Amino acid sequence: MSRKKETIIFIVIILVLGFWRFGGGQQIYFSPEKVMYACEKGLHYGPSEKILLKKQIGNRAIVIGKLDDGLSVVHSKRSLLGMWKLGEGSVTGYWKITDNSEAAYAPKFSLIYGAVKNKDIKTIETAAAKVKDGKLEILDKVKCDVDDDGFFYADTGDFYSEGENIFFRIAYIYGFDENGALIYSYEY
Amino acid sequence: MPLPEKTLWEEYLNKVISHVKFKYDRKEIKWEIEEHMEDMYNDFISEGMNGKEAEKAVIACMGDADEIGKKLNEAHNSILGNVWRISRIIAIILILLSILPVFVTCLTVIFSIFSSYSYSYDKSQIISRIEVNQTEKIDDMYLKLEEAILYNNGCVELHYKTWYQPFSSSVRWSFDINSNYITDDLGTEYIGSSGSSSAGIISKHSTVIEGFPKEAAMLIIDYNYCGRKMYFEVPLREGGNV
Repeated sequence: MSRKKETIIFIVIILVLGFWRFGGGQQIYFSPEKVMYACEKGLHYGPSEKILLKKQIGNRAIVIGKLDDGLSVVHSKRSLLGMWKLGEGSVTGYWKITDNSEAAYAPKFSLIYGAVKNKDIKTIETAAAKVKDGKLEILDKVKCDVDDDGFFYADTGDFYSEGENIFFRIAYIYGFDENGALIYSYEY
Repeated sequence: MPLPEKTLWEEYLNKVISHVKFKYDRKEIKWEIEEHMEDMYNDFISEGMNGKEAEKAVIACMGDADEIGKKLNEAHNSILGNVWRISRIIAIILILLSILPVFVTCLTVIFSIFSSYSYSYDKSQIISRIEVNQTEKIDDMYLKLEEAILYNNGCVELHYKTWYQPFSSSVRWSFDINSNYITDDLGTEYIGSSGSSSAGIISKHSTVIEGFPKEAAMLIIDYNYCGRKMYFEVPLREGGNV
């Protein structure tokens, strides 16, 4: 077989297998953002109006998108050849913000994030906590501004650890108006 | 027949292949020309020439090394050669990466074709069975409601299948019609549903709701979530006994 014919056959193989393997058919994507959009489509919500935050730690990434009434939160992990696929464990996906303000703690990403429904809240004070054997331990307190999209986030220290009786959550959330007055508080 | 030391040949061959820009073909070209020259050499020796004479005669017969080299360079185009080489490597990597997924995909396709719906109750309890065969699409997923079965204990079982359009880029999650989206012509709200799903390219699902009122005639599936809508009306009392 001539080299030209062989080249054509190779290119056809590359196009077919490449598209099948990396074009979404095998659920492997070019970036964490693409994983998020593909996840939204699969879960039948969104698409996000825009990406509010992307944070990458090592081979893992979390992407947070803006929805009409909440957030889209999808984590992913690096796959073959620098591609990305959905991360392991449960996926937050569509997070509808129903209260004045809600926050979440993602220990694997050393990140606290959330959104406000009450537009008067301009600053958030919240804390990451660990619950071990039923005892709550505050790990990190953070204060962050709410942006124009009603979104806020703050990096925390690295407190992630695994254990049967350990889980992580937000301890409390306080919302302040532009004058610094407390207008919302919730302790979980 | 002992072959010459080939110092002359070596120079000649090196001159020829120096014109070939696609370096990965040089070894093969050299080997082929050398073989051809050896045949000629043996012919000349058998015709009575001595080694030195035969060696020189072979080179003379072969012709100008530069001219041959240029022609060989044209035949072994370096651009095509490089495209061929790179595409071959990528194709091999992709084939290796795809062996296992292709195998798994084939298995799930076979499973999808041959799997059948499960029935939650004995078929003798069926009051009516309605073939719906209506297909709706949300995002790039199709859902075909195939049939609805009414049992004499007031349970309704829905059989439907889902599949994604070819080349869908979605992350594929299992999809189930649950009681949140089911009502009837009396406006009954159903609390809780059970069901099962099969994996595969085409997933087959069963959803069961309990307490379909005797007075109700129509089961309604009204899926409305984040702007995605599907709507089915199933006249359950029109199915007749099965």
